[in-house]
Amino acid sequence: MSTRISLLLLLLGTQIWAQSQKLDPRSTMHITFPEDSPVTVVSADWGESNASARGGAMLLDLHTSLSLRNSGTRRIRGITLLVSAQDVTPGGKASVSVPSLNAGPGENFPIRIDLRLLRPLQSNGPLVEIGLDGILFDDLSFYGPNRLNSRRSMTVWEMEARRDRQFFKQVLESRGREGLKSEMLASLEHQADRSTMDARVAQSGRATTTRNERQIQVAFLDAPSTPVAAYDGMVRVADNEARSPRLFVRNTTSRPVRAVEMGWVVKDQRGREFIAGSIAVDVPLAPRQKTTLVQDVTFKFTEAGGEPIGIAGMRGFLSSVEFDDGTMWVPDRSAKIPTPSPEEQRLTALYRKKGLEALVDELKRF
Amino acid sequence: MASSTDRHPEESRLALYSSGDLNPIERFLIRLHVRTCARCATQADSFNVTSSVLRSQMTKMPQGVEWDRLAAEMTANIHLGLEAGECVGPVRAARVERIGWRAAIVMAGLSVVLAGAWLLNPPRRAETLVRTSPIVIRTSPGGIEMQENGSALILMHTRGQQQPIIVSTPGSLRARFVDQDTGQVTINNVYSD
Repeated sequence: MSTRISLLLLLLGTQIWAQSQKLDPRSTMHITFPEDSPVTVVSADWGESNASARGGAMLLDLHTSLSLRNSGTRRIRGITLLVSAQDVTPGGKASVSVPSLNAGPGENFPIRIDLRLLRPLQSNGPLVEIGLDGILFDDLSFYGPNRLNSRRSMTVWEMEARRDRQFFKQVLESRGREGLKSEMLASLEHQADRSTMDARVAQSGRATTTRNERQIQVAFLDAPSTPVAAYDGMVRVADNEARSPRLFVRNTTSRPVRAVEMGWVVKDQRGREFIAGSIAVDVPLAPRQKTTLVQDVTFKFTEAGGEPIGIAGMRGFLSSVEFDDGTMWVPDRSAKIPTPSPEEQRLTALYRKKGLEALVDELKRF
Repeated sequence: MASSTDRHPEESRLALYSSGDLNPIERFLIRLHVRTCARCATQADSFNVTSSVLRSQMTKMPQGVEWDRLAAEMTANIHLGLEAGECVGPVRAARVERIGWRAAIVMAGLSVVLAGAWLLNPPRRAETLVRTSPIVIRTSPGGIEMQENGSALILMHTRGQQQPIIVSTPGSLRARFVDQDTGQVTINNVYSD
């Protein structure tokens, strides 16, 4: 009897071994950086990458930890890598960004990329190409092809990071360690609340509902010293769809504006508020110019689980402004923007994992 | 001959024959008969003479009748009748005439517009709409997923201690998390366009 069980287990083990095999990632993942790139690849640890058959498809788990070196002369604050899998999803793109870096010339820093690919069994050849989309330096200068417009995103993240570090340093100076601790706890609580209240926003060209359509006014969160004032807005709403938002904005500065990014907060019929992402709009605005932003689109809001959000009200907030000369504006912390910045997220995670002293040391590094 | 005289055409036929109002076949048959029948030939001639006398008399107006005055009286009577008719109800004939002109003008205008539109926008040749497979982006357990043609790419964010912050915009999905090994905040993005 035990011999039979042993044979069965042996057969089962052989089957599992045949189904799941160690993958040679070098044949599936190519990393290509420009020759004049200020960042070079020092090493790539492929970890537990493997491939296994799933029915008529092949499932590939690719895990890599890249060690990159700042081979330039300026301090690096952020990097974005472009990830494309033309053989798997030819129409789509992906990227991995790491903001809030502090890598001086000659220093190494890691980047982890964890990918899972599902492709037909018959496919062959290289699967994933990893390239450089952009690097942001501490003087806010930029290097890279910027195909994904990562320059704008990374500049906003860096400016938000400077603003938040400055705020926490001031809290430490004025209210001491206890004050910093209470700010960290408040931020963690805020993050825990909002992580379950994300809304998904999708753009659809055609409205699917015509019943119950009504026009509602969009309110705006006040942001002190905002260079672009959004003073009124209207949107047509039907069930969980918001159509053709119309926003009245004015450039309050003497500098020409190139683009604005608006965030949305959606309130449902039970009074719950959902953060509905942000939408960048390229809008050239001359100094003091007023304009009406009209988007001929339909946004559909659903909860993370896919349930539709019955829209009762909408609020907008200005999350960033890009001026014509490439400089950016981000709101003050007093604007109480609903989404924490990446730097605030990083600092609170550091506090939670390593404690207050580690956080204070980290703040001193900048 | 007896047989031909037995079948003399009726007088009315002969009268029509002499005025040239018969159809060609009947006219041909009667002409054959008249050539061989003296009685019918005489009768036909008499019809001809009577017709020419009547025609000459009809060209003259009766004594005491002046045509111009008669025409003026008839026109006046017609107008008087129309005005009297308007008191009772709409004179359809007059309005139809006016509406008809307007309709003609409108139709002409429309024709010009349609012709212009056709010239400016000639009908396109039959086109084949080639649609690319839709790309689906969504959150999946442990990552954000992009699906196309049954294949999928998932950028994993399982290395964070906390739930990632998901930010969505039309055409892209972003997951932001802190890597528990490196302590770095990492931002994964997928774009469908």
